[in-house]
Amino acid sequence: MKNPTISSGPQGRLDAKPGQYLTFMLHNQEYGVPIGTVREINRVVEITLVPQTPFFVAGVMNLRGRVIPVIDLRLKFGFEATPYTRHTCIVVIEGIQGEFGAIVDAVTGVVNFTTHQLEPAPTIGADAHLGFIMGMAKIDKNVVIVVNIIEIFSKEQLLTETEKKITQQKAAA
Amino acid sequence: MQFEDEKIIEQLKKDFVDEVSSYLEQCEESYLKLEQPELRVEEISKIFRYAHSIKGSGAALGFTDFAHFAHLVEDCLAILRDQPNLIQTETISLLLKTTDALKVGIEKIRQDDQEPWIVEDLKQELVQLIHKMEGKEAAPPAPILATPAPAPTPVTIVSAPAAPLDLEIDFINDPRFAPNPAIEKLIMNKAETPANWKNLAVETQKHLSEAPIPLPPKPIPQASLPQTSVPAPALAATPVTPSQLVKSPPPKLEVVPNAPDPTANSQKEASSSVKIEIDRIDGILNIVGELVVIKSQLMNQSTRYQGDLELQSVVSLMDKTIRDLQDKTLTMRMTPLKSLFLKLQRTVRELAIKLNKLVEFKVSGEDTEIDRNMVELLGDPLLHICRNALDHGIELSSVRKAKGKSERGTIYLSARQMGGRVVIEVRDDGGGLNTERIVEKAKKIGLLPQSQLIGSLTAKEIHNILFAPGFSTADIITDVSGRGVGMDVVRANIEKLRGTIEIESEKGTGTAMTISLPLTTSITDGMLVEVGHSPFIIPMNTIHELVNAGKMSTIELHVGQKVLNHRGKFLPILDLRELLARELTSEQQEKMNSTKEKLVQREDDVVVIVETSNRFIALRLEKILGQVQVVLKSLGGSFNTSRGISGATILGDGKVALVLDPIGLSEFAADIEVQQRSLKRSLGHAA
Repeated sequence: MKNPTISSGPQGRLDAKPGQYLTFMLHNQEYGVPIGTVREINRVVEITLVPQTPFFVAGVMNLRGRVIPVIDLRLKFGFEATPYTRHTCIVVIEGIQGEFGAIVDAVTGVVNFTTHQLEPAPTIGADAHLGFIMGMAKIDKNVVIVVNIIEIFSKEQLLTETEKKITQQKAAA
Repeated sequence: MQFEDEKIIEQLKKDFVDEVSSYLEQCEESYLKLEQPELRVEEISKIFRYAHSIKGSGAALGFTDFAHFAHLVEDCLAILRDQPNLIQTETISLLLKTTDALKVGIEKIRQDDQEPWIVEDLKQELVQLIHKMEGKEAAPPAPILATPAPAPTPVTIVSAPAAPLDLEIDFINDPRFAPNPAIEKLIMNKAETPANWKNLAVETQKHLSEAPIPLPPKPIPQASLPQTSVPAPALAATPVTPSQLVKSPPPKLEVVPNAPDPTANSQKEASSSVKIEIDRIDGILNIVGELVVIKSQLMNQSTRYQGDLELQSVVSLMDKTIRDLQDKTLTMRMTPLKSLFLKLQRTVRELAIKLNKLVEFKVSGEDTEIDRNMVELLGDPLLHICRNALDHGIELSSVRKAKGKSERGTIYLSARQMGGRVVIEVRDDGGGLNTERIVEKAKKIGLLPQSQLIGSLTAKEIHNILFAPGFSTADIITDVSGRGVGMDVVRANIEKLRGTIEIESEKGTGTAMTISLPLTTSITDGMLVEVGHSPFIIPMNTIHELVNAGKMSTIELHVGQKVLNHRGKFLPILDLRELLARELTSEQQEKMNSTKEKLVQREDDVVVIVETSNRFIALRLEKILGQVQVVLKSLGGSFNTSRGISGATILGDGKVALVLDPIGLSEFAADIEVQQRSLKRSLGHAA
């Protein structure tokens, strides 16, 4: 259970561009995603479980007649699952392979980040888990972690443990 | 403005591509009809018109190499039109090849592909054919002026007797004119009525003078020239500038009367249909789907106000209207099977030539409509069946003669709508299935025990052998069929479309393969069941039987592997709760089975026996909630790896239910077993 915020490194990549970001809370830390990737914000609705999916996939939901996948960002980031509150939201993201929902603790707002507010992501060796951090943004004393949320929902990120093993075996053979 | 122009050109190009594509399809259809001598005259002039239109619009838009090629085809067709008796099988094959080449060309234009379009070989072949046919033409050499030009575009400008200038200018074949589509366009558009000719001459002159090209006149034999005041040799010696040429009054343009304009016909058709992009239709379908869900939610709500009769009547009216709307929008996705059948006809024809078999391919019901997506998925299985019919079914004509059958075999492809399904049949009058050989082969490769007697097998059982993976009775593997990767794939593909395939065969008289498909893949009947408090749908067409779990006997083969003794047959039994809970986290499992004891099998469990690919599997689950009609939705791009689940649907209350795929489930179960075994083995090694 690594919290990316406490890690610090000399120089990492800065993929985040200045502009508007939607910020949300997750395990008492504020995160930001580029506003362009966000389609809408919904209350938590009934989510149907899908077997054979990774643990962080909450299931699928009905978005006005369309069936879209939903991931639990808490689980994805390695935090403990908590019961949903009235602040819990599903942020609908426009991904490469279509829309998907991301469950967050609360949506805090839309913030405009300028160039000097943005810092590169910290690096700890070649930690692949930090790959989806696009940069860090400073607001007063607080820090907002800017994440590439589309990357989180990419194909290889969605493989289950068994599938990963199978592909590894295939590669070895 | 530049932008505007580009947009217009883009639109023109798109129209051109659409137009030519439809012409090419019609050409192909007509080419295939050329096989029947009585239709030749009519069909060849049809094709001629299409080729002409393709050439014309191609030249007008500046696709010169495209137009040139079409022109060559047109030349060839012109000869055939006058002498239909020159049509031979090879000629048709070559012409079909040109259609393919044009299709490739049009695809390049569509995709803005800058790669050169290579048709030189085909051009060469065409030229050779034209020469050959011209050689065969017994007609006496016609005088220059009387020679019927093959197309209206090679315009012969002939001076009237008063102006003794005789020049033949071939606008198409003269390479200097090739890059000037403007002139072609002019001629194409305006040369239709004599009144236009004068204007045309003026405009042509304008274009020519913009880029003056010295035109050395073709040397014309002195004898053929009428006596004139200007000596012809003098004329030939001085290069004539284009302006001079056209100025010579009064110019007379000899234009070969155009064949009836095919656009007149297509315009009539256009008025009754509108082209819509499929994305738009899908968009509307999605919205209608949403509307259906909202409607059912509203209907649920309205049951609270039973007393309000007015509300009830409005709600039921809305229900009816939305149902109609849904039906109508679904038909928008339907497309006729015609183009698919045409492709099959073409392939069978080519194959028949290759295999040296005489066969007639009859088609009926090609206007039957089916969901657009299904047409694409149906192509390969149908092609395979047709190939088999030709390769294995139809005998060589010598064999047929010996059997007292007509020399020419027949493959009959038909489609019709029956109830809510489309039935496609491929019937041949060939040798029928050789049951002895099938059984013999099945024994050889271990599909049947050696002791099996043919008499003890039903026809259906024998036919099912054909669908076994890797099965083939062909002794020689040809490049046509016989590799045994066919029929099992055919069946799998058809089952993917939730269809069925059946074989009917009589030795000596032929075989019929009947495919039955639902009209659309997006709507299906399903059984709504509950597994671990989550709703699931089992497709209705796979369900064979429902059994009460309390009344059946199961045998445990080894840990985790149970079989159900069902009326003397042993079926593998899968507990859906166990299967679906696998790979879930403990929290998710908890959610699925709110209490641990729920996982325990209960007496009142239900067993659903499903049939897939002729295998029976028993699925154990908690509850059956009822039968529903569902609109299938995909789970979204990233979830396609989920085996055992073919999609999702939205229930009346807005909940999402997953649709189970019994084939995938059984494969998944088998994989787990293999994994467990290998795990055990590796554990054994470690110990």
